[in-house]
Amino acid sequence: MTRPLNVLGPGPLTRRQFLGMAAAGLALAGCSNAARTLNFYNYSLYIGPDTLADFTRQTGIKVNYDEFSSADVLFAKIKIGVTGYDLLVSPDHMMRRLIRHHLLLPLPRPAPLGQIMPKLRKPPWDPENRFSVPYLWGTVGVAYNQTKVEGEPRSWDLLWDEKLARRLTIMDEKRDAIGAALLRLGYSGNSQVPAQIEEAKQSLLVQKKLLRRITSDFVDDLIRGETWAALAYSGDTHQALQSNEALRYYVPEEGSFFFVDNLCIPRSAPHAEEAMQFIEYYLQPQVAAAVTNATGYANPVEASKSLVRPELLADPLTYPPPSTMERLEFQQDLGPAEALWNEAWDEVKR
Amino acid sequence: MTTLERPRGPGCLLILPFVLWNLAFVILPLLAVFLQSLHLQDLDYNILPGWTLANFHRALNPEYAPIVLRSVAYAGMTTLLCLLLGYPLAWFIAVYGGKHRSRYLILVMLPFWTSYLVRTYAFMTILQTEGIINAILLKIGLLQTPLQLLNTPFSVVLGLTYSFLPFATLPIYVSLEHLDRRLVDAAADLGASPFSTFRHVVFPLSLPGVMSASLLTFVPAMGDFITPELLGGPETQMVGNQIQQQFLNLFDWPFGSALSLLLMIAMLGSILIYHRLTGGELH
Repeated sequence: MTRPLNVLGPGPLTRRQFLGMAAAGLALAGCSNAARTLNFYNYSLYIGPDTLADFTRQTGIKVNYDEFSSADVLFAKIKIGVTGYDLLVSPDHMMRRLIRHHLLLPLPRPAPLGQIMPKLRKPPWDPENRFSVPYLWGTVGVAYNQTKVEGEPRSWDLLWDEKLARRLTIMDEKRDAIGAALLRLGYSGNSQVPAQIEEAKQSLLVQKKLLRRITSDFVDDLIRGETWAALAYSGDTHQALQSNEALRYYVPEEGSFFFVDNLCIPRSAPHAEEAMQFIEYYLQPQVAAAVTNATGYANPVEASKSLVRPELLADPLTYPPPSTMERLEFQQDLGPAEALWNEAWDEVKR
Repeated sequence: MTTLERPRGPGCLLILPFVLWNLAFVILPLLAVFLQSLHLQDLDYNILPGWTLANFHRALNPEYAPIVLRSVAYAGMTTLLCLLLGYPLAWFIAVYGGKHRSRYLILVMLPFWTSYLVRTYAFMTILQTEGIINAILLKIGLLQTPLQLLNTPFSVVLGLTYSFLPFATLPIYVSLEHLDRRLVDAAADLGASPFSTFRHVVFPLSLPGVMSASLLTFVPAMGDFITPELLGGPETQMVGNQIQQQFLNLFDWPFGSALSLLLMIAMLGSILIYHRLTGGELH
């Protein structure tokens, strides 16, 4: 999954984060105890402004922070053996693959999971939390411009609406794009049935004629009013709302995905102990709450809710109500059907 | 004996750095790409041991014809536009530039000093529905509703033309600058109109420059992927996007390698044709 870099519209949040990073950099520069370091590889725009600086202040561990914009790039780097990273943020659907390829190190000691919300405590990809701890979570849905769309859409159909021709985007992520098409047709968003995948592909080929772009950088186009509806992530939409108040978001009634990004330690990590310390640091309510406040993505730490900004807590974008939660499924590992998904996506993109 | 001889003995060592450099940074990577293209991989992206041409069969499948034809069309359009714009520009600088010539040439190169991404994003704001062009056309009443300019074949070819124009202008400029001006005067003295002077004297003499310009525009335009990615839409993807997609999104490195090799072979082919046509003179 991609958290796009907002190149043209640096909202207040982006700037704040930038200042935060600059402050972190200064703090690191002034740190004399350079013996212990942590190399952290995270999605772009996916951390709080003071998270790293506070960690360094508390533990004396210097953080080298590096960002990626697409999970595919993360996997490619780790798979071909780029080493040096101690801590990764990986999406749920990639966890099984990382574990299967023996690319992850079991956590040096059990993480304090008592704080974690029950739904995330024993995730299907890592049922005993041997390798990972949830970092942030959000939903996949539809973002739209309410001044351009009539009524209150509730279905995936909006992304196939001919009235919005050439004003629609979907993300360049096969899991979300094909998944949405499957859900719209009434199938599981993790379907491994060839006929269903074929049907989803056909519907994406119909949709393609209506699309403006296939891009994970959907936020910019929405903010500038170039596009009126998009396949979107909740947190990104939350960030886009700061720049364009006409934007709205919903989780379609046919169902959608609930995604969890996870903190994990690659097998080749030179500083696994430091990475573990960061995981323990992160699971403190005030730390996790600060990350949520900055990114608009919910964190898994139950006790952090009292520290999250009230308007964010009340916002179904960040904390969906139980009725929405019921309609959400995880993106599962696809097994051998991954090849069919790849072929379908290849054809759609051609 | 004063004739030049091939260096023998220790003299050969002088070309060693060049050979090593080529080996390390050209031959070996190409060989790796080639070897990779001859294998298939399993679902976990592990390369399988057996040798096969399956990736090439797949790449030559008619399903991929539209994207190849589209790339040829966009690159061809770009080349044509670059020549149509670059030739008068080069002519102006060569003939009327006078002592300011080098300044004009620097101006031609100037856009390269800005990041390509920044220039492309600038185009996005110019072309967007609420952008400058639509605003002007609406204001003067030429349009009632804004045009969609961005994410179309038009915006892709425009972006490509913009970025490769200097590659077309400079070789044409060189050939025009070297042109013997007395031939133009002679043609005029013998009664040729300006147009037939251009057609029968100037243009044929500048042909090597025009051919170089075509090559330097067509080849990189054919492999470009950032322009269609940013300025294009789902129906304007080029071969470069397809290759990038195989490597970064679908992890099919063997197939991506086969596609890259085929593109390279096609480009080498067009360079050979160019050599045939020009007798091997590169400007």
